[in-house]
Amino acid sequence: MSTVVADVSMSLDGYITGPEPSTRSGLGRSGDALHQWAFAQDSPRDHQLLEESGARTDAAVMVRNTFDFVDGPNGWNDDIGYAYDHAPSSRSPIFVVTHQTPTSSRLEGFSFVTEGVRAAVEAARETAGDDETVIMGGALVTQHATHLTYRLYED
Amino acid sequence: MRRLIITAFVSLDGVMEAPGGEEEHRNAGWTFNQLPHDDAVYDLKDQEQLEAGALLLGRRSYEAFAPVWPSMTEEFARYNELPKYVVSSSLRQENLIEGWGEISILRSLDEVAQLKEDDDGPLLVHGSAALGHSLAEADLVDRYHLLVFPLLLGAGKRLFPTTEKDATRLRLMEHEAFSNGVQKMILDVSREGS
Repeated sequence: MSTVVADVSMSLDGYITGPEPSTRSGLGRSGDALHQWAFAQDSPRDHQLLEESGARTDAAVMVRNTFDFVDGPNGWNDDIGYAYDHAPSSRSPIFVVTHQTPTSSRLEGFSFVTEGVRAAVEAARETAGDDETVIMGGALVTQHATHLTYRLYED
Repeated sequence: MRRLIITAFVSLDGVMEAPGGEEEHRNAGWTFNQLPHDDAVYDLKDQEQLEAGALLLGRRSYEAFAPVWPSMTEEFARYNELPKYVVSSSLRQENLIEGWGEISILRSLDEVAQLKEDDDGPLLVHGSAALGHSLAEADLVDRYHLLVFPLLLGAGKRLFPTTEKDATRLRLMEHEAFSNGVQKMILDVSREGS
């Protein structure tokens, strides 16, 4: 069964974005500092880490706010984004937790789950098989999923 | 200039409250009752005690430590000898405990900044959550000694302040991972370009 992994860049004091993240700036003010390592070309080790985590992943979960940024005009494009160097058809499917499915989207490969975080994680695990399911954020869904994990262990 | 070091046991989610036997937190004692013991984790604590020049304490930590530490002659032999500085606006000179070395009260962060101008050994901050936040906000911290425990503790006093502040860059000077998943991180506050 797929292991659920919270895969996120975090500051030492626990932030995963700068202040005021929005659909215009997904990482908020000065939040880019948290992800510079992923874009830096000069560290083979960082690159390897990214490659490996990408290779282990077969499904991902994100929350609607994150999707709205990702799908928006400043979001993922051909140069930057999750598995941006893969064809959309070969990219791991992403499950978006939302109250309401959007009527249209710019990017492909997203499924929308309106039955809550648990349902989204379960759908992703189903797809991932023996590979990892990654919780991509934002913070709320990561926290929620962490509590769920506690519960799953207790169950 | 003497270096100001904040040293802490901290959970991965940033909680530093009640690492020992204190009873006021639901997870009190999390440094020893949640994971296997590894002696090597505590080498840093011995090293700190050897190198410290003085202890800098918040009022609450002073009140928690003062009745206990003087009798812990084996564990805290050197700390008990060292000068202590308590940062507090309310603590009164005449209420200070006897027999715990020289204790001085500092009434403001300016006095802390002044104390840093001396050339004696490092000022070590144990516990002292509120003081730690104030020191970080006033940019008076030079180094962090962290033992990061592989635990998520949820609510509890945080090591780092949550106030609006520009990013602080830290330089990783030393690190080590232990058999029980605890990680040591020695981080210098970088003041390059400031």
